[in-house]
Order: sequence, then C-alpha cells, then structure tokens
Amino acid sequence: MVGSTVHNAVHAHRRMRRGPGAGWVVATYAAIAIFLVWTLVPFVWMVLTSVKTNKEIYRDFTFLPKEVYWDHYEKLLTGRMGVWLRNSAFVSSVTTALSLVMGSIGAYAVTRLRFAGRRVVAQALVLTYLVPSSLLFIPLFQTVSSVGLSNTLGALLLVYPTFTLPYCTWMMMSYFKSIPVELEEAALIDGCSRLGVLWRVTLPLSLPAIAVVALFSFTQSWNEFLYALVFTNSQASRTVTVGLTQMLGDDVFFWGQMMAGAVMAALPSVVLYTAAQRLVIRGLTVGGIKG
Amino acid sequence: MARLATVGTVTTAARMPNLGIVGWRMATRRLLGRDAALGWTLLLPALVILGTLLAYPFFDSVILSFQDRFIGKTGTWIGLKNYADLIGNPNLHFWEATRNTIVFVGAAIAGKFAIGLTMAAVLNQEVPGRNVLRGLMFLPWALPAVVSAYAWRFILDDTGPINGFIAAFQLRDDYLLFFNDPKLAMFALVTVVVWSGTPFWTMNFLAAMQAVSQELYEAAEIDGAGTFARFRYITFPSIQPVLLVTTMLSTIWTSANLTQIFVLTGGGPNYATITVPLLSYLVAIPGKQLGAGAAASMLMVPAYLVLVVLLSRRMLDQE
Repeated sequence: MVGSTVHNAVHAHRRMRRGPGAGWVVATYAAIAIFLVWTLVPFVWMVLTSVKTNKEIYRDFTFLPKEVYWDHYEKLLTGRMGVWLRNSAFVSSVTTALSLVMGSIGAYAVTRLRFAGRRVVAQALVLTYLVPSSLLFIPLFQTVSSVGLSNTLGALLLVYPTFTLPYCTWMMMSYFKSIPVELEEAALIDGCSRLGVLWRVTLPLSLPAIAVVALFSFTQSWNEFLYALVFTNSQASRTVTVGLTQMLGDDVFFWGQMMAGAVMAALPSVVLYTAAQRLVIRGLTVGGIKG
Repeated sequence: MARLATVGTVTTAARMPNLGIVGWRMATRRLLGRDAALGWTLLLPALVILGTLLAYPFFDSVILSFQDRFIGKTGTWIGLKNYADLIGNPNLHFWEATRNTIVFVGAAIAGKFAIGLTMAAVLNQEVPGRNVLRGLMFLPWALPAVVSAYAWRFILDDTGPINGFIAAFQLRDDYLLFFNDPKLAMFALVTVVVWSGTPFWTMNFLAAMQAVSQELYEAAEIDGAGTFARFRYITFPSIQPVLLVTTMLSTIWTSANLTQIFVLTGGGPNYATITVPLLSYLVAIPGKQLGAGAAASMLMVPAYLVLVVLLSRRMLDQE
C-alpha cells in the first residue's frame, strides 16, 4: 500500500516535470501564430501598399507588387514631406535634450539631497505624469498665442516637455535610487562638489537610464499629434504626424502615397525601439510603473 | 511603504549633532534640510516648466470654462452656462459623447486586458525565438498613433484588403463600409486602439510574470497543480497589483486619446464615435469656442481625479 502511494507520487511528479501537456503546447503555438498575424498584418500591408502602383492597389488587388515601385516615396520626398520630417527631427531632438538635463538634475535633487518639501515634489511629479494632454491643449492654446508662438516650432518646444519631463524625472529618480550612495559619498570625501558628483559619478553610472529616457522623449515627441495639430497650423511649422493628415484630398487615389508617408513617419520610432528593445522594456516596466 | 521623506528626515535628524546651543544657521538648516539651496536650484527648471505649462493651464482651464470666450477675443464671465448648455442642450452632443466614451474605453480596456494577458502568458512559455517574438509583438506600440490609424484605415477602407477580399471571393453582395455604420465604426475604432495599445499591457504583464518566484511553481507542480491551476492560483494573484496599475494607467490614456478617433472617424458617422475629449477639441479649436470646449474637458476631471489619486498613491507606495 505504502509502496504504491510513493510510487504514484513519484510517477505523478515525473509526469508534471515534463511540463505542460501536448494540448497546451499546441495551444501555445496556435496563439503565437494568431498574435503574429494580428500584430504584423497592418505593418506588412502598409509597407507593401507603399511600393505598389496605383493600378495594383485599386484595380488588380495584387498581394505582392510585381516590382518595387518607389514613385510614392519620391513624390513625397521632393514635396513637403522633407520639411515635415526635418521639423519633427528638430523638435524631438531639442525636447529630448531639454528633458534630459532638467529631468536629471531635478531627479538628483529629489533622490540625493536632503531638504524640506522634496516628498511633496516627488508626489507632484507623479501627478504631472498622469495629467492627460486632452485636459491641457485648450488652456495651452491660450498660453501659446499670448506669448506669440502660434504656428511656430517654438510652441512645440515649449509644450512638449510637459509630457516628456515627468517621465524623465520619474525614471531618473528610480534609477538614481538603485545606485549605491557610498560611491557618491566617497567622491564627496575626496573633495568633489555635489554637482561634480552628479557629473562624474552618478550620470556615468546612469547611462542605461539616460538611453531609455532619451529614446522615450524622442519617440514620444516624434509621435505626438494633438499639440502639433492645435498649435501649429502653417506649412512651415508642420510636423510629420500632422502632415500625414494633410495629405488627404491631395489626390483621389492617395493610399499609395499615404502608406509611403506612414512608413517614413513610423521609421525612426520603430528603428529606435527595435534597436534598444531590451532597455526600453525594462525602462517601461520598472521605471514607469512598478507593479 | 517606506516613503521618501520619512527615510530622509530620520537620517538627517540622526546625523545632526545634538548640541546644547543651536545657532540660527543650524536651526534653519534643520528646518529646511541641509541641501535646501542646491536642491531647489536643481529642481527649479523642471518646476518652472511644469508649473507654468501644466499646473497653471489646468487652473486656467477651470476659469476658462466659466467664460464665453472666442478665439482671438476677450472672454466674458457667464458662470455655469457652458456646463448647463452641455448638459441641457442635446445639439451639443455631450451625452452621446459621454456614452461613447464609456463604451469606447470599456471595450478597449477589456480587449487590451484579454489580449495582453494571453499574449504575456504565451510569451512567458519557453518557446524558441522568444525574444524575437517579444520584439515583434512590441512593434505596434512604437508606431505614432497617426500611423497606426492610417494603416488600419486603409485595411478597412472600401478600396482596402478586407473589401478586396470580399469582392474577390464574393462573400457579400456589398462592401463593408466600416466608417458609415455607427456600430462598425465604433468596432473599427476599438480594434485599432486595442491593436496599438496592447503591447504596453503585454510587456507589463510579462515583466510581472517573470518576477514570480520559480519555486512557487515547482512546489505547485509537486502538489499536482496543472498548467491552468498554476496560472489561476500563482501567476494571477502575483501579478494582480500590476494588472490593477496597468488598467488604471491605460484607462486614463485611452479615454484621453483622440488622435486615432480624429483620423479614423472624426467622431462620425453622425456623432456615433465622438468622445468627450474629441468633443472638447471640436468645440474649442475648429468651433473657436474655447470656454465651452474647456467646460467639456473639465467634465472628465472627476473621473480622472479618482484614477489619479488611486494611481499616484500606488506608484508612490512602490518607493
């Protein structure tokens, strides 16, 4: 009796150790296939459409183009798209630089310096991270026009830090906390000033966080739409996301060009995220929120 | 639960030498903290930016909502009239917008939750090429919202692949005109928002799942728990805090998102997909009535306030 119970237990144990049963394995692979199709079909279709002729898109309904047709891209790049891309690149880079500097020094103050009120500041920063832009674009429209920045890229440089800065500061705060304070104390004892410590010790140790924060600020600014739509309404100040919406009505058969424009607008963010994927996922899940 | 400042003040107090006579300098230092000057200086740029461009505009918006204010003109104080109009005048479509916002957010959150959880559970298995799969499934999140909206708009367009497929195989007599039918338009909208928003959920869920101790699973296996039981009794309870925070964060962002609605339906057909943020945009910017638009956006604040208070408390508790 006893022997058979033990035998059963061992047997059961062995069976379990083999992992999930065949049914679960099949279900897992089926799910992967479905998720891949769901995720990738819009990308594939967008890219394929962007290199098809109008005849292939509208008349023949071919899946693959006979040959790669670059005209949609060429037309866009010789047209206004170049200006839009330049504007987006400019605004996103400057916003990123500003947020990095202001976010790092602010985060350092809150995490490493001792002064009254820093707890309140830390809480306020979380709060600002959660305020959606849909609540702010109307009053900001007033602010932007009252300082005379309507329809300029300056308006976006002014406003974009409102969504990049809270995340930057928050993210740098949680990273700084993970750096042993002893390293900084050693530098202080060696005669380094507080700012010297930040520059020579803390920031060099925070390069992974800086990379994530820079990437996040850049792509979020690049992808932003609502503020750009509301604050910039001139050809010269249009960013690429708003530019795309202006392409409608240029031509009855616009989907080829639209998809080419969409591919170009998506490229920087997609490339950056793919290149730094590991860092980003860690940054998003650990820095942004921690369960 | 250890909050920032509790740690701070305790250590500061402990480090302070307990002198019999404390000079005024020492006293202020104790009161303000030893790094007050430098601390506030370093915080200044961020505080100025966030104060003037985030906090001030928010309160400005409250004031604006009590005014009759046209773009380019000075406003006049009209008390609660903007709110009364929104609530009382059906031509302003506020109640439709409210109903749509609830349906849209509810459906989108349910979709992201279900797909995100399943995707994370799948990616948590030991399958070959897991990192590549994870990278691919993350892609929609990297896309600008405008781009994902146009990619899908073409897929759902009458000249797009779905209708091409219907025509090629004669599955239906007529095309599926997604953006002409109220129900189909809302369905299309939710689909696109779920598609582009799910990766954020997947990655959070996956990170939480990978933090669950392997020993718990081994113990459960020995006790004879099957795959489903392990998920139900170990994975799910362990990741529950993450589920909650992700849901609240995404609820805020989804309800505030008007980019994809703007591109896909513009609120149509016949206001069937207009949401409160889109309504506030349409009233304030193309309609030029800043005051009324601000009032519409203010009516979202009570809901946000609940979420923000709950969330910021949770996020700070992680410290």
